[in-house]
Amino acid sequence: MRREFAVPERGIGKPDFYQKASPTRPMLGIDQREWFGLWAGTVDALSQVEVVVYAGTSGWRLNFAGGWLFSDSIVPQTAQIDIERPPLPYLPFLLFAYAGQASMTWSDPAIIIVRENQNMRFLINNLDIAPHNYSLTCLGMEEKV
Amino acid sequence: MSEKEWRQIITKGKETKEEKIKVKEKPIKKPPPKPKDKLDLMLEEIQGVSNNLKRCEGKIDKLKEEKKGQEGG
Repeated sequence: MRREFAVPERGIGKPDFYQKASPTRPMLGIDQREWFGLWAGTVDALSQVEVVVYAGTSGWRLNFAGGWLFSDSIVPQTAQIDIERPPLPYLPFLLFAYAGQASMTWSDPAIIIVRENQNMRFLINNLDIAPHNYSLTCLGMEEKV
Repeated sequence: MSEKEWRQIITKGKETKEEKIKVKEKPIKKPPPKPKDKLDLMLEEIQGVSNNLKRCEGKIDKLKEEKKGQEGG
């Protein structure tokens, strides 16, 4: 007996017609796309920089999953993450201290959503009396709304 | 408030873009020094006594040498 069928596109929520287990099943659906970024630069002694990592994108929302922040100083440093949700101004949702590197990632369903009309920024402090280099990596997933 | 140039590389789906961006920078106030407690003050006093002892040892050694020199001469 012979069977024929058209194999539909893969995606979350769609039936899986593949006849064998695939070790690399896609994790993202067709209305989702990966999002990650690297920001690198210097901060002067006893100063703070504002890095806007996400400016609301029309038609999309960001599921923010965390990241890493590295500083080449040996003194403890601090940083915070703010979200601007109009009509409210930027408000912090995470304040943290670290020595060398901070990493924080979280997974579904505990994610931070940044919507179309919202923005997210990092405020990175240099508490040392010398300038230092910083490197920030953020990751997440964008979804069509 | 001043501006600094940072490097930004963002990937969205299949698209990756690298560019220079301007970030705002402002000075932050250094926290005031922690007030010294009793232990800190005691440690400072001990350190001061220790430094005085070292200075005195050096003088004692010098005087001993001078005395030897006088007795020998």
